[in-house]
Amino acid sequence: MADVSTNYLGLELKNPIIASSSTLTDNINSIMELEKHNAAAVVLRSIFEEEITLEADHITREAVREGFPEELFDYYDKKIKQKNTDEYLKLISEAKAKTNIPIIGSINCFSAHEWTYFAKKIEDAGADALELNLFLLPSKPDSSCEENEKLYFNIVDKVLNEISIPLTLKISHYFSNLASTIEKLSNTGVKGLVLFNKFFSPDFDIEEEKVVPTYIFSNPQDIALPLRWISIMSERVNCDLAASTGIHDGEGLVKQILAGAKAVQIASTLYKNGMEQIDLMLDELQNWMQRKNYGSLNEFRGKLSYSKSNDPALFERVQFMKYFGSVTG
Amino acid sequence: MAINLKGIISPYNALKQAGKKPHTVQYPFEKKEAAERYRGFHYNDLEECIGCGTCATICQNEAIDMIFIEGIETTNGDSGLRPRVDNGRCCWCALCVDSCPTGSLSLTKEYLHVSEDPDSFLLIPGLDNPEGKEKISWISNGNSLLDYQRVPMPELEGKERVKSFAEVVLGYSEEQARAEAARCVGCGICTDNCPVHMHIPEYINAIARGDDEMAVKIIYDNNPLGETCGKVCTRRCEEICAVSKRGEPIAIRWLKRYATEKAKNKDILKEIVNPVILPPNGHSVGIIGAGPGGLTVAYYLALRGFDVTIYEAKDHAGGMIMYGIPKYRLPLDSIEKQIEYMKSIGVKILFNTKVGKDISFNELKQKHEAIYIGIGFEVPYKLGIKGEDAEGSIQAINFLRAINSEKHVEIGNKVVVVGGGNVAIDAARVSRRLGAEVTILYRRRVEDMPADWEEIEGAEDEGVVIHPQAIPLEIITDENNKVKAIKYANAEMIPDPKGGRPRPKIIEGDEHIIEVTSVIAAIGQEADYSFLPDEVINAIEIKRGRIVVNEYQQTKLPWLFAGGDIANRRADAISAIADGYRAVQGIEKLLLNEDIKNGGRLN
Repeated sequence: MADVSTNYLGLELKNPIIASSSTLTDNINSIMELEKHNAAAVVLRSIFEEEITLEADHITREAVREGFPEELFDYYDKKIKQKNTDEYLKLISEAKAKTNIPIIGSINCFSAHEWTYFAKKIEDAGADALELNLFLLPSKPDSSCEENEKLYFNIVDKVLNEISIPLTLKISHYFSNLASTIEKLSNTGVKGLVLFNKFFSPDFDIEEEKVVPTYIFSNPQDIALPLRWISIMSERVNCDLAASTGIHDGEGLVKQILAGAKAVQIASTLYKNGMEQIDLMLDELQNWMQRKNYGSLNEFRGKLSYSKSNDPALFERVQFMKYFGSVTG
Repeated sequence: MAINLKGIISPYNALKQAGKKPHTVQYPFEKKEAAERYRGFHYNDLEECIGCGTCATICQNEAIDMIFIEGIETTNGDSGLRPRVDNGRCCWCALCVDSCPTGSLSLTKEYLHVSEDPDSFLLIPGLDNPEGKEKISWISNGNSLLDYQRVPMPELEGKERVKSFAEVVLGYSEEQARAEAARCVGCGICTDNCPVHMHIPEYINAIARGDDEMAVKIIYDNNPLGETCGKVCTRRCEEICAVSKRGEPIAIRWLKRYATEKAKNKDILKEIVNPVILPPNGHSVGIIGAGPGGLTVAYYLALRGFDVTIYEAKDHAGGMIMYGIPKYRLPLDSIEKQIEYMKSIGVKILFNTKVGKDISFNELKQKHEAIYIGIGFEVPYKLGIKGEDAEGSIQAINFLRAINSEKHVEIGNKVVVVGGGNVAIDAARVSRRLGAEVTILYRRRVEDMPADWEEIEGAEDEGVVIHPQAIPLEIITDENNKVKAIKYANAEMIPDPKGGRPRPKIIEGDEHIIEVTSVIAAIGQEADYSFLPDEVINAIEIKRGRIVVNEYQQTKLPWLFAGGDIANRRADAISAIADGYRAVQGIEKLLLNEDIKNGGRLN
């Protein structure tokens, strides 16, 4: 058996597969099941700032419709936040008590203010690391790139001041100068970056003529984007990189390690194929390593990264020029 | 026989008139324009009218009756009725117009109506003659018989108030009370908006007549905490007072206060109310919490012969009125007088008995046939910001409870209160009385503050600074984890596209720090249901932190009733009293009516 252990965020993982933040990681039974199927670590389901705000709004509107004065729910969002965060902290403690794998807390926020305090609570509850799932869609025309990016750095700075456990950022690719931003973020003191988070995307129902959510799971083809950026950045950053989105099987896992990832995060494939998919992916990894005569992940990690690959230019091509096109007919 | 020639010719003389223009008035008649201040047919602005019926009451000829009109609905503040005038009876004295509180009723220059149909003389002003709006000749402005100015309530000056916990409101003198009571038109519109539906016109009328004891008796008919309500009621009755349409509403709360304070102690009170206490009926009811709701249930059930016991976790009864409302608004002796009176008619209160700790809920269930829960909201929401657990960061509800229990609380000389409700205002005003400079940080606008406007004004009079649109970010502490300052950000208000209140959004970078000695959080409370066994929690319905009940305050468990903050929509004392009153009816039906008893639920 090859050694598939890895070190991510300073945490010793028995293998590179981390159960990504999802509804599969929001309850203790499911977390224990993930451990049983050899997930090396679990990122708990994100506690969403936006979700709390929306829930408070929804409850208030419903109450007002039933005749309650709106003022009665003046700070109701605080109650919801308190309830959600209390439950979250309880889940961390419970997960730490009942499993032997690293438990990574996760916050999905678009502002730093009150969440830095919660980050500390997550640490106090026993989490091994914290993942900030930063959700800042640059959709406001009046905000400059600098302003948008500054928010990321502000949040990171404030959270880093609060906690001593490793901090990792799960970011989007919506940056005007992605390579530069990733590099700068890696120098802030974070221990890792997860490339990339998957957003909710709207779609249209043309019969009903209304906006609807698009298909929420990733597809294996979605691996291309994180694969490119892990490859480009893995040798340039001062922190670990983890790949997320589109990793559905052992092949995807191998690709990301070849690109330079320290670990991968999976969720869609677990929904589609069940938790035993982790075991299957690990088997595929072992088989591939055996076939290639690799004794550990470090022996091939980053082998196809931008700086080590035989043709780095491929990573920089974005147009389907004839020379690079492989599609015929 | 001589011929009278004149007699022969005279009839023909009349013929010469045939060619002349007639001297009679032509038909149809040419209408003469009435005088500027003529008192003709009535006109009523149907939108302005609230159907108070003062016009019908005042009419000496009984020419006005109040009827429902299609399209006008009954709401709180509008009976849905509108006056109909019998012009066969009307003498156009305009007394109805001059005593119309809203000014909707007027008289017009219209005066002519010829018909053989007597029913056609019945006119619904405004509906039958919409054109009358253009012909109004007599309105009550300048003629009104009503007094639209309230008799001012004597109060301590702001600077004086903050020197002690002395009651701010000094109370009406007899002369002032009579004068204020005399302003009331007795329409009763106010009773609809009172959660208890107190007999407001009746007790105000008794005060106006000089029969204060009768007023007290009437008040206690459906409110056993009349004196409390006379001091701290949120007085929704006054919001819809007919007189308030053009002037200041009748000071209903202050008149209640005046009357109930006439009973100087519980013995006098008992003598005045002289309640009829029915003999024991053998049924037993347990009440959890001696707040306004629980006390109301206990009082009226005890009068009806039930064996009632209140289980109260603290050492005084009253709940939030005892521990939440500062003594400058509701003095301790006033509460104690009311409680002692209740005890004197048979209400039993077990103090320092917390259900779930000193006695289990299941034990209560075994002891009593029905249980009423009125535990209130006593668990405060947290601010959820850094530094909240530091020394000097206090929850308002704990602060007020300690002060009302005459305990010392060290708050220093500079306090920030966070919140915008009555609890926040109370905490701020108490802090002023303890000698601190006080600033309230509220995240919305002043007009969005849930606190009563007069409480807000009172706080400002006493020197409290209100800083709206300010969101606390962090409580800064010193090396000993003691509160040193509070950091907050200013907020802009973002309109809610769905029609709700605008919501505050932090203005990034607009952050400030205030040095403080204490931070008092007052952003809301919730109930602690942990004393309820799982089977009870699972059987009842709790929605948005409140127990769902029917019109008798009955939960989905037939024997379990709930009221007060944990079940109603207003979170004030009068609503809790109303809940208690409804629960009494429900419990009485459940335990005394065999059909309902066997059937379980009351609805």
